[in-house]
Amino acid sequence: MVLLVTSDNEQFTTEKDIVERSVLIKNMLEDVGESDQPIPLPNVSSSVLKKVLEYCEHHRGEPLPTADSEQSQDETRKRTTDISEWDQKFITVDQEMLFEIILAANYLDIKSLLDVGCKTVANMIKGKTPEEIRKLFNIVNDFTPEEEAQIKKENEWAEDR
Amino acid sequence: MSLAEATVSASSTLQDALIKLPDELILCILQNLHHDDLITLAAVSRHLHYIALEVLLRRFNVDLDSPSIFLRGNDNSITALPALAIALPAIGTSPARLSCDLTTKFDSPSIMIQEARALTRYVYKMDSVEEVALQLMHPPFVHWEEVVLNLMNVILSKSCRSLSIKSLESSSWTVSSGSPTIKRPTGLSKILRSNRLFAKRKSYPFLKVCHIQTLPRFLHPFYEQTLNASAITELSFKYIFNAKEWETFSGRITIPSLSHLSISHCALLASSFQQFVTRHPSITFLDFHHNMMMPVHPPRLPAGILPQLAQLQTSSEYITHYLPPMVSLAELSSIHITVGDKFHAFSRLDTALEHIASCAVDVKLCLEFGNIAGLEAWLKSKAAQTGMQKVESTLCCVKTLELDTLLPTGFSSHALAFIPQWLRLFPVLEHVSMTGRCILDPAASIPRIVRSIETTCPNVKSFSLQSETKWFHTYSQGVSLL
Repeated sequence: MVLLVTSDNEQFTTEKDIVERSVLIKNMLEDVGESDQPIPLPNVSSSVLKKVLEYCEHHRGEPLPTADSEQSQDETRKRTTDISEWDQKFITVDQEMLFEIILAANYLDIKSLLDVGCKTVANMIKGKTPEEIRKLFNIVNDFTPEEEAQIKKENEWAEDR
Repeated sequence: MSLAEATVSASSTLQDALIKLPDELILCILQNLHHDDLITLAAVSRHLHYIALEVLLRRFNVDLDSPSIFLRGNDNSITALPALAIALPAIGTSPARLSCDLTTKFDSPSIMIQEARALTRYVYKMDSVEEVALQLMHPPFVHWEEVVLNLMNVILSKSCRSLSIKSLESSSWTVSSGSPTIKRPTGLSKILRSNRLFAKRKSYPFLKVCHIQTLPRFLHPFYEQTLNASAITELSFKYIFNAKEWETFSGRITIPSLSHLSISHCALLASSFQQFVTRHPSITFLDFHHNMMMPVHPPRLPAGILPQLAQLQTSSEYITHYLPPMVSLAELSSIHITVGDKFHAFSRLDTALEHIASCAVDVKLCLEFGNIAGLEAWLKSKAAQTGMQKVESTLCCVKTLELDTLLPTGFSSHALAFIPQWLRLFPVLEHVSMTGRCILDPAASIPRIVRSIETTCPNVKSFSLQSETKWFHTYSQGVSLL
């Protein structure tokens, strides 16, 4: 059993093979060895860790992706839509949680979860116009008018009179 | 929760969560996107613009800060054009070389037009570009011509020093009955129109080099205006098969500063070429080969033409039949002859060498062989002739001789063995160098060759054999004989 402590001081008890999906925790456990000391996770809140552990538990026993599985960009792009059904349901959360999960997956070094999170955001962006993307993510258009002219898409640019 | 609800809840609790992510995580997300979506993202905000472009350009193997930008079909880099067209980081860049192949979507003129426009916008963002090489096709659409001319004007406005335009004609376009229609954009953008003003400028002080391959008619006025108004020093024509067209075109061009002229693989009316070189006595370098002359046997150019010619690069038949008499070229210092792969190339070389023997000045002679078996047979027959006491005219004007071959097989050992005897033709020879692979064992043969050269050409001071193969490396410095 492994004891984890979140940023808001909540304790989680979980099994070693579940939590070892996180390369960060796996390395920590290897460094520390057998110990009853709780592992502090100051960058992860309890609500996020709950989600993360839910993910790790579901994927328990699956082989970890190897570090050198660099895929070509074509493959990467093709993979965009293939998020498994369970993962898709799992990641259907509000934006705040989605970005928290991405940050936590990155911090805890859980590559497959990071992938799911990134792909989900990518899917939200797909096919939208710049204005729709700004609205969706609350982004301010900070281009100067001169820059605006430079970045216009080809068809808009050519027909500008 | 639906996406809309998610948006509402997000906006109430946190602002711009996406762009607050560390850049590496934004990069992770963007890796998953198709380039169309990345281009959209690049228009969302400045921060996303720079990240999206980094992902896009890396994906297409384009590095904006590299001195050479290549946009081609084989490595997909041409697909970067829409990204380059909008790239803010491209503003103020100054690549030394830009090479772009706009013919990869040859079956879709509308895409070609888009690409040419995108390229125009990219170049427009640059501070300067020294050398530009373009590969174009010319579908017979009025709008294409407009787009290309604008591209040229934008390029020339960027202190471009060297412009090389290769254009391919596609026969399918010239005979199309039901010609494809393209939606004509409503008009030129402000940026393009402001650039048109440039076309009225009187001179192009930066342009020094212009390579022209094929002459689509709509580019004639552009070339005429540009060439006549600039201080071009190097001009080349290649693959121009319409002799009449070249005559009309070249007749309108006079470039007082011209020093390098190259004409190859063209159909030429002898009279129009003569007029052109007569108008350009400043030419010091002439590259002239593989041209189809009209008439087939034109009269020789008279003495007095090309008075400043110092370097001549050509093939044997032009020396024996067409170019001005060697004795009249008082400034000549170097002759490069390409000896073709046809068998008769060697008998022609014999005659050309006789002509070169009449040079009044010392020249460096470079022979480039395209047929080593032919060279072997030729050298062998030479060796036999000397035995029969046939006296050939010797070349007392040649002190430096270079023998090259670009063939992958290189010089054969037979050819190498006969070369020293043949060098008897050059009694005042001082420097011999050979370039090309050799298949013989250097350690054993070089000293032998050097010894025999010493006996045939007593003045030889240096002999070098340059080879690509590694085991020749020690000899690439040459053997000095003193």
